[in-house]
Amino acid sequence: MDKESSNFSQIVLKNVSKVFQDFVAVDNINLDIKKSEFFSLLGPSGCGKTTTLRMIAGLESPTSGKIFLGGKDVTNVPAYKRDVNTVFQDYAIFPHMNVWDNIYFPLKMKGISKKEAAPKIEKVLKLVNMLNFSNRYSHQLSGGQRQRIALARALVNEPQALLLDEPLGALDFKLRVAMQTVLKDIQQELGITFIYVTHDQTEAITMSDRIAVMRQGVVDQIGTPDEIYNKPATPFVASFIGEMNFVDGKVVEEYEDELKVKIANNFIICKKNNYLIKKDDEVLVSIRPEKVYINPEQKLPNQIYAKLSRIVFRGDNYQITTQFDSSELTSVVAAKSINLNFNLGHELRLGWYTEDVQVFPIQLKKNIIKYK
Amino acid sequence: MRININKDNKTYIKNTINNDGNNINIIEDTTIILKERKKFKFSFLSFYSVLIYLFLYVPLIVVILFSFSASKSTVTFSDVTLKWYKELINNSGLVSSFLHSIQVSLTAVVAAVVLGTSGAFFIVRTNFPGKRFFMTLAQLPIILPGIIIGIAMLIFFINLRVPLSMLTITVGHISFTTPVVMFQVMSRLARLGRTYEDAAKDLGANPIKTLFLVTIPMIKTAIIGGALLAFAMSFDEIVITYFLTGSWTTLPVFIYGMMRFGLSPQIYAISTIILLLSIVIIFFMAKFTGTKAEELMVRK
Ligand SMILES: Nc1ncnc2c1ncn2[C@@H]1O[C@H](COP(=O)(O)OP(=O)(O)OP(=O)(O)O)[C@@H](O)[C@H]1O
Ligand SMILES: [Mg+2]
Repeated sequence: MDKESSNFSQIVLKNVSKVFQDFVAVDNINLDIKKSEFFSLLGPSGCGKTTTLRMIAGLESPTSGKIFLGGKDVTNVPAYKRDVNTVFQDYAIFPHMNVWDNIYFPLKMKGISKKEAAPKIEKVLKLVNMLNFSNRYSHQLSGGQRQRIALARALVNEPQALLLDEPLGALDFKLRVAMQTVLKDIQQELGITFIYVTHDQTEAITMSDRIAVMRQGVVDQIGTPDEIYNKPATPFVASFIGEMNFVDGKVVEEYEDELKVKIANNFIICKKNNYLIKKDDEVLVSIRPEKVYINPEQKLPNQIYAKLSRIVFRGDNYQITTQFDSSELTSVVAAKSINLNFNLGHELRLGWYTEDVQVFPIQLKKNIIKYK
Repeated sequence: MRININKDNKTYIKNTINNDGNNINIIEDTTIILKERKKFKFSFLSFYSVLIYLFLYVPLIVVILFSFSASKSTVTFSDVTLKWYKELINNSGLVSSFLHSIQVSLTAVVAAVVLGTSGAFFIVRTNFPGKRFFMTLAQLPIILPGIIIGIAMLIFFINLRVPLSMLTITVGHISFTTPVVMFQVMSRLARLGRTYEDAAKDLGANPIKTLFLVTIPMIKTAIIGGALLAFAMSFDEIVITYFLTGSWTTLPVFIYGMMRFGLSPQIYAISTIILLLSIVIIFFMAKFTGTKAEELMVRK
């Protein structure tokens, strides 16, 4: 990535909303996507990812707000004049044209002759490793191959940004993982901004430079995968990504930058954050299972005692569930690192570091996503 | 394109010419082509199908045979002759009604393609209250008995003081050819969805280019198929036409008039010609709508 340009805002969304009839699909979102960034829109089904992407592409016009592309206001510029290309979820390879003509299509729209286009087409076909397929038609290609052709077609004009709508959703697991690498390599090689829509948190975490986590039309958090995972801004983000323990509590003491929270009959210390939380407020406390240590050797800042209630072996780790009063805490420990000579009901000492705990107002508890 | 099946019978080499004009060989799995060579198996079902086909086609075969029979009898076959066909050409009323039919059907089909295709876009692409009701209304000319449409239109034209003529017949035909084309195009448009057009716009095609380079090529076969079907329906339509006919008449109405004097080998001859015409139309319809690529394109 080029250092100087890496701070240049490629795509900016300012207070963008989209209302269908009376349904708010996208609710006042703000995005600032940098040049050459691999930016993901992550969120559960129906949260407005596709709608957001389509507004950037110009296939849907925002009900309010503004969209900037390369510094220019493109809010009212039609799709065919915007310098961004999309890889659609179902690829949309034109069935009445062969692969070569499909990739020639965007070049033809720019008035480029077949002769001039040939080397460009060859280049992108090589990039996606599909050189020998130029005579095939869409129905003669596998899902993965169609995906590559859609990618080649979207890239051949070297757009300012490539928009990808769950491009790997239709592929099987192995192929998906392989294509993730292909996509990431291509993005790094070409340095084109990617906006990648997915509802697969693992995919977003492994591939992205930054992620915007969406919930019901709003953006809950924008951050690097590390920030999203380790410092979730809302209970929704905390629950949507990875595994998470949630426990109810009440603030009993407020210090300069810490809070003392009572959980059942235990007291723990949490770091203050952007929420206005005061003494006597009901709160929701969250901590990742792998950050809960069982019988730690040294004394950790936070400790509680709890009874062992379940052990589940999951290949490379154990999921250990403990109970204290009416709350439950799960902990994940590497399979090798623990001596499991306990009976169920055995009392364990659980400990964690203060910075690994998040604290939220209790009102946000309703946004927790529960699978199962 | 050349195909060589390899000795192992599992792969074949396809020799094709790529876009640079070079010969290239592609090795592929034979299951793709071998699937198409499935053997016919005798079963009860096939026996049953043969019976049905006999039931359907024996009368047609009889008509064709007797159109070549020299005797005027319609029961016994005698020498082979083409004289009935020659007589047809001399029957000026028949020839002109045949030309009239072609004229009416072609006009009705052209109008149906224009009205039906634009109507299909309107129904599929816009949302308006009462859309379902409107669709049912549009289907009525196909569903309602011809006699009702015929009488209704007759009353309509009489009230407007439009003399019965080619115009009235053609308008009558347009009323049922339009929904035929419209429903063919509608179902194709609905199945295609908007993704291809979105993709075209996204890749830089303005609305006009999108229409001509993407939408129309993809619905083209539905339009052609609908037009052929509409032509076939219009060409042999008799009930509605009968009500709207003055002195200017079409072939089916003329043949019906001829039949009042009893069956004749001439009628067999003209029927055979109509049959051949229908077969040609069906052949083309199958060609335009039935290719494998087309099937796959619509199903995706
Ligand atoms: N054209 C439309 N008319 C009415 N509602 C729509 C339209 N398009 C989308 N919606 C609604 O807007 C919401 C967001 O849709 P969107 O397609 O953006 O979701 P998404 O995040 O992409 O979901 P998924 O992961 O399932 O693709 C959905 O509730 C959807 O029903
Ligand atoms: Mg979507």
